[in-house]
Amino acid sequence: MTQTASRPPSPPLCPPSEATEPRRDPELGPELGLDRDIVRSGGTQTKRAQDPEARQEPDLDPELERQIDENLRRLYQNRLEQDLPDDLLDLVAQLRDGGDGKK
Amino acid sequence: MMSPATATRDHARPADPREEILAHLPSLRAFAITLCRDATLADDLVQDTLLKAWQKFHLYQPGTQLRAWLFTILRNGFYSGLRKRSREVADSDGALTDQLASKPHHDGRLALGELATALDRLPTEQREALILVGAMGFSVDEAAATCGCAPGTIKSRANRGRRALAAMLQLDGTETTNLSHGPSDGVLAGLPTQLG
Repeated sequence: MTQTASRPPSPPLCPPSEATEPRRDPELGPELGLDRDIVRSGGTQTKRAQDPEARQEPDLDPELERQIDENLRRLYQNRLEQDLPDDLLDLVAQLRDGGDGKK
Repeated sequence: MMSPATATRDHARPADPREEILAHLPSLRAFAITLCRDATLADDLVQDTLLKAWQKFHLYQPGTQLRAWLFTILRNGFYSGLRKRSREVADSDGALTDQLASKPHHDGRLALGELATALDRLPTEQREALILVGAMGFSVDEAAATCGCAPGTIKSRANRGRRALAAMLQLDGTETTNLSHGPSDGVLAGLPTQLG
């Protein structure tokens, strides 16, 4: 018995460099494309963790990396603190009142 | 600002497990803005995500990460929209490039507006990996689950993204970039979100 069936095809959006990875892009799946295996809390996919591409890359200066991440956090925090738009709040109200969200 | 907590405490009613979704709306929207680079598109994407999650909540498995589930739905919607439009939201007019044509003036700190502009220039997969792991505090495993790829791929994308940002912003780590100073917030606050 072959094991070819255990590896699903790569999704079309996958860059060539990642085409050989055993990705299971949930976008391609049914039911919102949700793959419970990869969404499950604590799932690590350790067998897929080896990425030759990553190993070939030089490390960024740790301090620079820290600074970039800190800025990214500030950027994200800024966006996080923006008011939710009225349309979205209206939709929330509709859903909470038992509506289907369709106008 | 209406907080998610406020949204979930408006009325006394039996607890609906779906209410937990609402707590993630601000972060979903922040992530959507990063993906779409367009606030209007991002808001539409978040609404679609909320609708799908609310209506398909029976598909969510308790005990799994709701955040990852929601972000996966949002991400799916984003890429589906891209395919439908059959075009990438790219820097076709060179506007972003023009904004980064000169070396940023750091004067001891990195302007966040410049970072936002540079971030928008990154490929989508690097952008999302950086935001999930670098900014939002997703574990590499959770980000991998959200993006449907291997943890090593997330690390690789995040590293490539950081190095690309450093190159675009001409940062080499030799000069101090005090990234926690306030004045650049004013730049960021005025930064248009529609850059694509």
